[in-house]
Amino acid sequence: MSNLWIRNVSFSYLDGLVLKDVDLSIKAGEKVGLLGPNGSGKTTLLKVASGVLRPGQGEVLLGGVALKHLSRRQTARMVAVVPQQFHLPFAFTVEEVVLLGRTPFLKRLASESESDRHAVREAVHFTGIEHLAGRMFNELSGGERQRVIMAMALAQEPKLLLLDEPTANLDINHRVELLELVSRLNRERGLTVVAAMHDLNLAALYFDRLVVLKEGAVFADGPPGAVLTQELVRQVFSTEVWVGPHPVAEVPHVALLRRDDPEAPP
Amino acid sequence: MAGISYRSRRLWLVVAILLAVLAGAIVLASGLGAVAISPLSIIKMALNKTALFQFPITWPAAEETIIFQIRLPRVAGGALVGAALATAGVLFQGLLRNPMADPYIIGTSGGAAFGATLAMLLPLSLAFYGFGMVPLAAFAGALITVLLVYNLARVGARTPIVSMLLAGFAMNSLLIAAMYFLLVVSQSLQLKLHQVLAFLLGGVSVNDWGQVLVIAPLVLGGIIISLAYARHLNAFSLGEEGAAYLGIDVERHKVIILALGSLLTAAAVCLSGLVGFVGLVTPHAVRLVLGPDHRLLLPASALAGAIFLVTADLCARTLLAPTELPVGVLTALVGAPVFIYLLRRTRREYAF
Repeated sequence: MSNLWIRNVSFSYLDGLVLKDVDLSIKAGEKVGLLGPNGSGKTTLLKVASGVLRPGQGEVLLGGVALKHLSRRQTARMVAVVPQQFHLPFAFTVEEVVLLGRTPFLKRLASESESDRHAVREAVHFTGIEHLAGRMFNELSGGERQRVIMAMALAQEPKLLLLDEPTANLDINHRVELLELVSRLNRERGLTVVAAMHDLNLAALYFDRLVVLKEGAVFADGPPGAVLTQELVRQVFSTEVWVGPHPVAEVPHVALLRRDDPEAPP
Repeated sequence: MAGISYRSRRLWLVVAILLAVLAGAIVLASGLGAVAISPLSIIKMALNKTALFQFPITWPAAEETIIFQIRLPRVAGGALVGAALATAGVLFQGLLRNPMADPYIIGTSGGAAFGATLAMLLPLSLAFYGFGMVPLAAFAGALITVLLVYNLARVGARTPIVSMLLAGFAMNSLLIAAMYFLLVVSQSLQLKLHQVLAFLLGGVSVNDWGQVLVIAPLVLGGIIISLAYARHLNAFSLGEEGAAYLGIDVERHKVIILALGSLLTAAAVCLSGLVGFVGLVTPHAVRLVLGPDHRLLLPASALAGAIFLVTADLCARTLLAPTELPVGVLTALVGAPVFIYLLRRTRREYAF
């Protein structure tokens, strides 16, 4: 139904090609981690998938419908995006921020309907931020803010959730907490999730399918066990690592090595 | 999450209270002056005009003329200027996400000032519904400058907000410099220095209903259309990218909001020259008390701006009567301390 098909997409900014003929098909309910070094095109790919950037070549189809045939408003009813962080210049309360998620559904001048209120209550409950509702968004910690932004995205009642390094500014507790929330959304709500990730181990732990980008093209695509190898990390990230089994979970584990370590392979 | 259901009730309550205060300010301002007229008489006069009431006429006919022909047009003009500038301030602050944004930030003040001085210099006399060359040129100057700034800041299909702020700053500086240049080189302009200063400091220069009736539809229409963009402004608080994720057609709505703000500002400038502070401080003050939700902020700021300017204009013409102070001086004298007080007191902190 809500499968995302990024079909032969190329995209270039004024100063060069960022995406090169990317062809990715993501099934409804899949949970995909997007890996790649800085500048490999992860963020651009997410922006193209969200419809905010229009690809120069190729197209993005959502449930069989090309995004270029939909208005921004129609797209925002199906796709929600959680960035690294949001900066709010004015003192919005948490409740007001979550309510912003209903923007694509609200008519001009009309106040929220019962269904809007229901969506907001649901989102607040699911993300467990009831206790924050009356607080100012700007006064919250980084972890709390990301939960609120998750609630806002959830209030959009999307079919596809895109996350752009959502854990980049969080401590380990809040990283795990946020990814647990994403997993629960995927499992219980059947939400399709695509998340750009920097942390290879977290990506291996939480995503069933990893797509690796290198210089704007898909370099590898598959389950963590098949994708995350010493050879791949060397080729894509130009970094020597040790890759072995995770001591507890059945996924690969990547350990960084010091570059001056005599034990490290050349 | 009870807050949501209370919101629209809160909106109507706030609007009702502010409307009542505005009505009070208008009655008070029309009553005070060289000839003091009791508020009760004014209310009776006004109600008699509706033809629904017939209070016995206990006041001299001259008082009715003073109220309806002299004072009310000016008070109404002041209310329109205040409402227009405060609304434009909300629009620009919300769209540009900048606390220093005021109605003049993207070039309207420089454009209006240059246009006005040019009109004073040229031996041309045009009149349009009671407007002379100066306000008309100020109006045109403001709008042309914004158009220029918008196009200067444009990069391909996008007009980044930062470029627009910078282009606005540059154009403002350029046009103000050009204005001073004219002022220095032209002797005929130096003779009109007082008129130039009056324009720059701002003052409600309305003396008949004609001007008010031309500007009122612009201002009221502009405010009503702005209300329809409250949600867009809320979404813009997340930045352009965030707004796009929430389904806002960023470039299109940016143009509409800029056009609305510029038109409101130009309309205000037409009636009063460059009144400062109302457009900067009113939105901040209202936001500090009522919060940043534009659905409440926009109508409340429009009304608060009207109240503020009606009161300031009253003080401007009565404090040192018969000398009239520039209203822009008063808006700053009164507005700044009130604003500082609110800033110190509130719990809704700013985090830019």
